[in-house]
Amino acid sequence: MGTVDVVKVPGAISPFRARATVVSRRMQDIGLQVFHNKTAMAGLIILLFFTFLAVAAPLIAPYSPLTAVPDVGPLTLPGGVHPFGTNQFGYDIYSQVIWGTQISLLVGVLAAGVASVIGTAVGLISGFVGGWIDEVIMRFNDVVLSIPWLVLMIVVAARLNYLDLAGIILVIGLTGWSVTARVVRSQVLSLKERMFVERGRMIGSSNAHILLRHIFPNAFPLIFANTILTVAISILSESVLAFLNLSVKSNVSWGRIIAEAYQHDALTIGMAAWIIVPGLCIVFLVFGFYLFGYALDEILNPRLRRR
Amino acid sequence: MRAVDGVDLDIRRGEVFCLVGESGCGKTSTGKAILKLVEATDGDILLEMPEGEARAYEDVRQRPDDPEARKTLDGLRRKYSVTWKESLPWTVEQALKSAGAFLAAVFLAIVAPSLLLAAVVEPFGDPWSTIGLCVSIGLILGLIGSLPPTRLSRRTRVILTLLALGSIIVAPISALSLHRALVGDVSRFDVGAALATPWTQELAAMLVGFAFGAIAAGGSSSLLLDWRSRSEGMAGIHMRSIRRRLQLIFQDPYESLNPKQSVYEIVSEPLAVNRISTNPGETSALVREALTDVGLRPPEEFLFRFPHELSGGQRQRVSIAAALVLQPDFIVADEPVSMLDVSIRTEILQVMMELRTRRGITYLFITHDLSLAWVLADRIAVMYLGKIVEMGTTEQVIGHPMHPYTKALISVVPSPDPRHKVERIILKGERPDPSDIPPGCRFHPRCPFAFERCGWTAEEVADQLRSLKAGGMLATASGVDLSDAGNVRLSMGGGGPDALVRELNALVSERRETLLPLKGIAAVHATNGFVELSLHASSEPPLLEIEPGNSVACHLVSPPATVSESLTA
Amino acid sequence: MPALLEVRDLTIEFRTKAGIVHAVEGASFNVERGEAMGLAGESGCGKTTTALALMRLLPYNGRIVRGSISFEGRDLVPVPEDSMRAIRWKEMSIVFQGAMNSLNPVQRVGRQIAEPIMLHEEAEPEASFKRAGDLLELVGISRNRLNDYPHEFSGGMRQRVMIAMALACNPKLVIADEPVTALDVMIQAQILDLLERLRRELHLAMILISHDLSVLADTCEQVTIMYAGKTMESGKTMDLFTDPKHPYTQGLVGAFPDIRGPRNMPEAIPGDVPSLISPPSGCVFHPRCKFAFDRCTKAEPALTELSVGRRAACFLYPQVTEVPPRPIVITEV
Repeated sequence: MGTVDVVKVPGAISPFRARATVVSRRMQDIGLQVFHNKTAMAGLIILLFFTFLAVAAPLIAPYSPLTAVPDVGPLTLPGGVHPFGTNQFGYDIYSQVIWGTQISLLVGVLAAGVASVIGTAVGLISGFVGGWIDEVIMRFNDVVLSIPWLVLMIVVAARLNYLDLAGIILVIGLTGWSVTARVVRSQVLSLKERMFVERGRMIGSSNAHILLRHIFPNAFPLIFANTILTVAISILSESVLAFLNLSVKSNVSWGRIIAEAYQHDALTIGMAAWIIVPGLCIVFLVFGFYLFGYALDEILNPRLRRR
Repeated sequence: MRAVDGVDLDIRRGEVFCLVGESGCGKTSTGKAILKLVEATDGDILLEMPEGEARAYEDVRQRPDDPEARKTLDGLRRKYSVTWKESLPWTVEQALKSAGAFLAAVFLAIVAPSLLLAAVVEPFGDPWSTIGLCVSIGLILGLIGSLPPTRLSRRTRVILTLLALGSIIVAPISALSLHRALVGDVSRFDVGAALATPWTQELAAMLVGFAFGAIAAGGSSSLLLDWRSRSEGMAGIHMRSIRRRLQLIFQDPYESLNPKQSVYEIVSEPLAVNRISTNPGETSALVREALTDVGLRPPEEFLFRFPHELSGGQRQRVSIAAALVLQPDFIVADEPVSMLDVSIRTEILQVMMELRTRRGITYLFITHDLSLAWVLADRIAVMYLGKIVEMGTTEQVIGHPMHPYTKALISVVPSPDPRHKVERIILKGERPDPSDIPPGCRFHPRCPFAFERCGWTAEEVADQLRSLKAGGMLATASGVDLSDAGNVRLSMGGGGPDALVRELNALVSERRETLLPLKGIAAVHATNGFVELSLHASSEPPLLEIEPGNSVACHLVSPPATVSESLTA
Repeated sequence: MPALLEVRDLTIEFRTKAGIVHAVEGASFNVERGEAMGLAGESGCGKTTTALALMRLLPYNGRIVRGSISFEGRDLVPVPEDSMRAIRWKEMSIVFQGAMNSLNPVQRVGRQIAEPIMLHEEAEPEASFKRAGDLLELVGISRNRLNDYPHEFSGGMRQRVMIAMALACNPKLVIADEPVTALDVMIQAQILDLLERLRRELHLAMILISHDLSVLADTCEQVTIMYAGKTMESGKTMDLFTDPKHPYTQGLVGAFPDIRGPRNMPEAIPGDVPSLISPPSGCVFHPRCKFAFDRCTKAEPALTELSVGRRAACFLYPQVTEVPPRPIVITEV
C-alpha cells in the first residue's frame, strides 16, 4: 500500500472536486512513472525537439520556405548559409525542412484525433450494445479494413481535387479509424464482464452511466496509447500523400520535399541532403511517437496486478 | 440448462440465512437472481409479505387450476412480488383510451409542430425543408415522449399537467406577441383588446396547435405512463426503490471495485445513480458515515485512495460501505471472505454482524465453507445441482443432518483441532454436469444409501451389468442393451435363459448393497429369447418438512405415502 | 540416521526495483522419510518461496543468501545447476500452486506425464507412455484417458494428473503447494485421501503447503508455522494445535471456525501483514501481538527448542535466545 498524504477535506465534497482530486493524483502518478522510464523519456525528448521546431519555425528558419532566396540560384549545392542547398525554385531547403515539421505534426496529431474519436465512439457503442448493431458495424469495419489503407487513402484524396488542410486531415482520419474501433471494441467486450460493471448494474446505473463511468475510464489508457501510435501512422500517411502530390499544395511538407528531390535526382547531383534529411526527419518523428506510445502503454496498462 | 430448479426460500427479517453448497450447485445464481442481476425464468421474489398473506400464498400455489385461486395469487403477486409482470386483458375502455392516446401522440409529433412552423414559415423559405424539419422535430419529440421512464415521480406528472394548463393561457399571448413582432407592430399591447380581435388564420392555427398539442402531450403521456405502471406491478417503476433495499456484496475484493475510481466515488456512486442525495454536503456525510461504520477510521484517510492502494480487507470493507450507503434492509453476501487472508476474515465478519445488530440488516450468506456457516448462520439451506436438499436451523442441519449429501459434506470438512477426527464419508466421482442432471433424485449416482425409488436409470443399470460382465460374471449373456420400452435387455449367447435369470437374481440379492444400481432392478424375466429387467418406479424426492423448520428432500426420510409415483422410462 | 531433508537457517532474498525483499529468514525444519510435514502461513509468509528454493527453482532475481538444504546428507545449496538436474524430479518433485491450470491445453495428458520420464530417465517413448498409464492408475484415473486433453478433465482430476506427473520419476520427497485450495471440499477430501494413500504405499515424504490449518491438522504429522518470512513455531501436529506456544500460532488456530466445536466466532488478529522490504524491528510479529513487551521490539527471537520436537521463536519463553547479527554470505544460485 502506498503512503498517501491525508487530503484536507472540508465538510462537503462536490462531485467535481472528487473527480478533480482523483484525476490530478493520477496525472502526478503517471508523470512520475514517465519520468523514470527511459524509453518514454527518449521518445518524449524527440517529440519535444520536433515540437520546438514546429512552434519556433517562423523564428529559427533563416528564410521563407516558399520564396526564392536572394543570394543564390536554384539547385545550389549545400554549403555556407544554405546547409542543404536550394531546390529547383531556389527555395532554401533547410528552411523548408524546418517549416515542414508544422505540417507533419499538425496533420498527424489532428488526423489521429479524428480517427481516434470516431474509432473510439464506434468501438464503444459496438462493443457495449452488441447484438445485430455490433454485427453490422463490424462487417462494415471489415470492409474498410480489407481495403489496403494506402490505396484507399490515395483514391479518396485523388477524387477530391481541392484539398485544404482540413481536407487532408479528414481524409486520413476517416480512413484510419477502423483499427482503433477494433481495438477499443475488444477492450470493451472484456470490460463488460468485469465484476465492477456487474456491481454498477446492481446499484441501478443506467447503461449510459456504466459506459461513461466504468467502461470508458478503464478503456482510456489503451485508447490513449493507441492514439499516440495512430499519430505515427498519420504522419506517415501524410508524407505518402505529399510525396504523391495529393496533399495540401500551398504548404511545405517533408513528403513533398522528398518528391521534388527524387524528381531532380538529388543523389546523383550531389545534393544527398535534399532527399535524406526530410526522410530522416520522418523516421525520427515517427520513432519518437512509437517510443513514447510504447512506453506509455506499459505504464498505463500494468500487467501485474498488485495484491 | 436449469441452474436453479424450483428453489423456495423463506428468509426472516434480521436473520442470517446461509446458502451452502459446492461449486455449480446454483447458490450464486440464486443470490444474483434475488437482486435481479440474473433474470429468473420463473417464480416470485416476494418482499415483506405478512404472515397471513404468506399462508394464503402457499395455499393458492398448491391449486394452480382453480380460477379463484389464480385471482388471489395474482392479487398477492401484484402487491408483493418483485418479479411479477402482468399481462392484462384489453377492455373496450382501455382500448379506446390507448387509441386516443396514440392519436394524440401522432398529432403532437407531426401535426402540431407543422402547424406551428407553418404559421411562422416565411423566414424559412423552402417549404419542403420546413416540412422535413417539422416532421423530424415531431418524431424526436414523439420518441422522447414514448420512452419508458426510468424514474417516474409525482413531480413529473404534476409538471406535465401544469405545462398543459399553462400553455392554454400563455400560448395565445405569446402567439400574439410573436405575430406582432413578425409584422413589425411595436404598438402597445392591450391584452383585452388583443384577445377580442379577430385573429388571422396563421395565428389561429398556431394557437390551436400549441394548445391542443400541449394538452394532448400531457394527457397522452399521462395515459401511456399510467398504462405501463399497471402492467408492471411492483417492478419497472418501483425497481429503483427495491434496489435501495436489496444489495449484494461480491466475492472478489480486487475485481469488484473500479480501479479508476477513488473510494469516495465508489461509495457515493449508488447515491448519485439513484438520485438520493444531490447535495454534496449530504453525500459526503453519508459516505463518511458508511466508511466509519465498516471500520475505516478516520474516513478522511481513505476517501481519495484508489483500490490498488488498499489491502484486501480494506477493499472488502469499501465494498460493504458502498452497499450500506443506500441503507438497505437486505444484503446478499456472495462468499465475502473466501478470498481474504484468514486472520482478516474475522474482522470483516465482525463488521457484518455488528451492522446486523445496529442497522437491523438481514443477510443471505452464500458460501461453500460449512464451518463458517456453522458459526454464523441462524438457518441453513444446503443446495445440490440446483435444488435444496436440506434446510433448517444450523443446529438441525449441521448437528443432526438427515440428507446423505449433507452428512457426507459435513464429515469431510476438516477441523483445526486434530482431536476432532471423524469417519469421513468420501463420495466417489464428481458432481455431474448441470446440463445432464440425473433423473429421480439428483444425488442418487453418488449416494451411498440410494435404494429402489431413487431413480436408477436403465443406462446406469446397464453400465453396472456391463462392468460385471467385463469382470467375468454373466458369461452366458452376449450383450447388454436397452430395449425400446426403456428396459434393460440381455441377449443370449447360447443356451437357455434360466441360468442367466438365476445368476441375475442371485447377484441382485447378494451384491445389491455394494453395487447400488442393482437395487434399481425390480424383476427379471425371460421373454422370447431375451432376458429383460424391469426397473423400479422412481421419482424426485420433494422437499418435505420433517420437523418444524427442518425440511429434507430424500426418499429415505420422507414417508412413502406422500411421494407421488411416476414410472421411469 | 539423518533425516531425509534438513533445512537450516535458510535465508532468501529478492532484488526488486523497490528494494530488497527479505522473503525468507532463517527457516529451519526436518522432514523424515515417509513423513508428512505441513508448512503453514498466510499469503506472503514465504512458504512458496521456501518450496521453490528447495527445488532450486527461484526466479532470476531471487537468491539464497545463507543456510543449508541437506538432502540425504548432501547440501544442495552449492550444487551447480547441471548436477541439480539429477536431483530435481528424480529425488524431489513438486506440485506447483495452481498447476492444474497450467497443463498445456493442446497436448494430450499422456504425453505431458511421459515427458519428464523421457527427459530425466532417458527412457523410450513407449516405455514412458506405459509408465504414464501406470501413474494414472495409481492416482485413480483410468489409463484409457491417456489420450485425452486437459480440458476434458475436471479440476480435481487435473490435480490428480499433476500428482501423477510429480511421481513420474519415483522421488523420495514430494512438495505440494496448496494442493487443494481451489477445490470443492468433497474433492479436497478425495485428493487428501489420495496423497495419504500414496504416502503410505510409496513411503513418500511430503511437504504440504497450505494457508488452511484445518487441512494440515488432518494430514500432517508435524507442522511448521511461518509469518512474514520467519519461522514462528514448529512441532508435532497434535501438540501444536492443542497447545500452541507462539502467540501467532494461537491466533491463527483460533481464526479457523471449527465445525465440530462450539459455535463461536473465530478470533481476529488485528493489523496487517508487514512489508517484506522494511519489516518491523525485533520480532516481526510484535506490532500485532497482544503479549508484546519491550524486548520484542529490540531483538529478534531465535527458533529455540522448548521440548522434544517443539520449537518456537518467542521471548515469552525464557529459553529463547536472540538471533545474533550475522554477515550475509551470498551464494550464487
